[in-house]
Amino acid sequence: MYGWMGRILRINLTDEKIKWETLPEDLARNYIGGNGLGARILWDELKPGIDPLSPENILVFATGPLNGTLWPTSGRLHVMAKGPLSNAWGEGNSGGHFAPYLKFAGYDAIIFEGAAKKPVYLYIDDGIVELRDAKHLWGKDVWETHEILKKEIREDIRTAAIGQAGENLVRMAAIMIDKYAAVARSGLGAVMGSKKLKAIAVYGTKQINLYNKYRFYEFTYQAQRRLSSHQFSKEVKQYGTEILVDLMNEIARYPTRNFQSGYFEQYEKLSAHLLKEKYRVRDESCYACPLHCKKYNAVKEGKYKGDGGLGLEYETLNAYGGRVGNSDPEAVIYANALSNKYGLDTDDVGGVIGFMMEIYEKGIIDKEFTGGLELKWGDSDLLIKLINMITFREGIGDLMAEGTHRAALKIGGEALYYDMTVKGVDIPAQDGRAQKSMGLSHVTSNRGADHLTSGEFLSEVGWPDAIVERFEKRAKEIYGRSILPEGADRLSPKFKPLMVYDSEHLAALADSMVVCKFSTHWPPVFFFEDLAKAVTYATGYKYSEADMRVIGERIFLLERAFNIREGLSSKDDRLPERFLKEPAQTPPNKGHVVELDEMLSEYYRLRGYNSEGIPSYDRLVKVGLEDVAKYLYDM
Amino acid sequence: MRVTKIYGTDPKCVGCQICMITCSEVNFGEVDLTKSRVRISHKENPMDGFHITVCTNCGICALYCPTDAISIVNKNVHIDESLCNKCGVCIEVCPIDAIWWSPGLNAPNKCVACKACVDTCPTGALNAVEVDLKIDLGKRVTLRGV
Repeated sequence: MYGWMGRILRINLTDEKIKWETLPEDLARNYIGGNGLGARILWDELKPGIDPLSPENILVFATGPLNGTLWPTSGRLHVMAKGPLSNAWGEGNSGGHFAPYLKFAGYDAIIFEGAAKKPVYLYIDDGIVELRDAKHLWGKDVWETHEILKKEIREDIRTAAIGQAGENLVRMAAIMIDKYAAVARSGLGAVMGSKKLKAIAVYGTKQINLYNKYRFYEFTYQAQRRLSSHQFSKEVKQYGTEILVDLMNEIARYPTRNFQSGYFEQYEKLSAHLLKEKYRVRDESCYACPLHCKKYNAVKEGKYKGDGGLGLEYETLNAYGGRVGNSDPEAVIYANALSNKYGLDTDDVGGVIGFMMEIYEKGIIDKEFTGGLELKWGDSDLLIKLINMITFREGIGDLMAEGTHRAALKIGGEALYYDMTVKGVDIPAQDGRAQKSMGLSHVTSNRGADHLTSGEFLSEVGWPDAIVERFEKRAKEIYGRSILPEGADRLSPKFKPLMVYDSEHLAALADSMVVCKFSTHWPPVFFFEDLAKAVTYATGYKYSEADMRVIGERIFLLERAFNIREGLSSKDDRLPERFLKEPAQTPPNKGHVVELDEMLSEYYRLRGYNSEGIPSYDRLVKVGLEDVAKYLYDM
Repeated sequence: MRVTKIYGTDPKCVGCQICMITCSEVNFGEVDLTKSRVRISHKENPMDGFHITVCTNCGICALYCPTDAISIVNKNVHIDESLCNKCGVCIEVCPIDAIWWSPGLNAPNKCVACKACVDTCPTGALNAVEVDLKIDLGKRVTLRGV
């Protein structure tokens, strides 16, 4: 096999059995890897209706054929299981250097089944695979765990570990790659914690065989240059995602105080320019990526003095910033480092803190309920305290650790209005009222509210050239007219279903290869054709642009079918009432709500979903999911 | 005598390993980071970032090679595999630890100044210049024929 290593590692934690399996060729060919591989494995093997935190859940770490090569941004890892937050399809994606080393060790994927009786960690080094006792690691945070494993095994070991949050089954727990990169969303850290799997340490030196080495590297060097010299790469290199704080406030798309507003009056204190000037230490890059978007921050003095670590992203600058009304950048840096140590998804944690602050403000809960805490907007000390309480499930933190949606259901009544989640997952820092395609994306995404399942960022900047390049042909085919000017207008619902629908296929494909959306979606450098070429040269299977679209659709529909099997339907494709009824307050979006019904019905039509949100039989057969179609339609 | 000096600028390095991937691919036709002739390692304090280790062609190893296997070829300090007796003296004397053993190779692994890493480094942390060789090859400590 070329491109793939051809081997899957299956580990049953209950009886500590380790099995080597061959990667089936048709599986690799039809699903490529990453989320495709995981979706198929979970569909085939997971019993419907199980508790995500029970030993019956299956946790899959998967790579793709491009990981470990020179292909730009090929350092990413995809992790999947039934998600503890959504009780449905759960997935997370992370950068770093773990995935290439997993392939160097000789494996495309690791499947974890069952649950260990006592804490263990998995050690992989080329041919060696061992489950080792993790008694000395349990209770330690992610950074300590990483350092201990480095000392214990070797200096250049790569690790994936959970912190105390995962151990305490906090439903917002992340799996941390090395020290700073997070498989954040869906709460997969809790799944790892429920399996008593503290960490995976991997090292390897095997080679990846490529089908046409000469063509592949010729194309890849070109790709490196194209990505590195793209006109929008400069900004990414300089500021990473921090710059979005400034840009999003300009267009009032920066969720503030639990989505009460899209504009944070004190955003300048969190501005990328200021962060760079005062706190920036250096840049770092993931494996084989020329963009080095991860920025290392440190606070030099004051009460939050200390090592802030890598990767303060826009999402965190919102979740611990505007979303909870906090304008102290040092507190954000500190809270981000703390979340990295505990292994928490900052999006969900910021979401639940913002939610509690708002219902406290509205008088739905009082001091008695919070255990004497006054939940005031913008209190940075309180923010740190709540992160600690959530991680260790102390006091009110125990309720908050269950996630916003479960907390809202428990409190009930008026609190439900302020529950800013879709399918139980907190809406990330992307206000749908200020960009209509984002409003739709949160709903159509399979893992719950998410901006990266579609990654439709082109209408946000309204860049006509790229929009025409990517969607014009499809718009002409389907609607018989040009996608401009409405396609480039973020506030118009017109054409957005098509743009989301098409972007979802590209995103599914990127996640199956597994490459970063910082090369496929923003900056929009690689498209279906480029990915088809790269994977053809790497694997030897001939893929065309059309094949790539079909594979993207196949993976997306399989994930959707997984959700349908878990009991989700069109009634779960709903946004919080606030997005539908409460118009945005700040210009230029003043008066805008998300026109969800209009967009969603058009989206259903494009996707071939029926009124219950189930993909049509014909469509499933068309993309090669006949067995899934038969299951869904009881045949 | 002129030699090509490849040198790394540590603060510019972002740790993407593109140089290592390129090096092993160009020189050995495979991605095997253990065979790379340039190395990126973490400094002790994570805040300090990365350290680039690559041969600067200073030529000191050539002075001490007991079999005269190291000489200047095409402006590069070159190890002749057929003369090398694998004693490892060059590895010991290298002042910047830029020569090492890599699995599967017949001689110590050392930069050949192909400059592929310089071409692909996305941040300009690796550079190449031509400099005069500062050592006198006439003063070699040779054991050949003894």
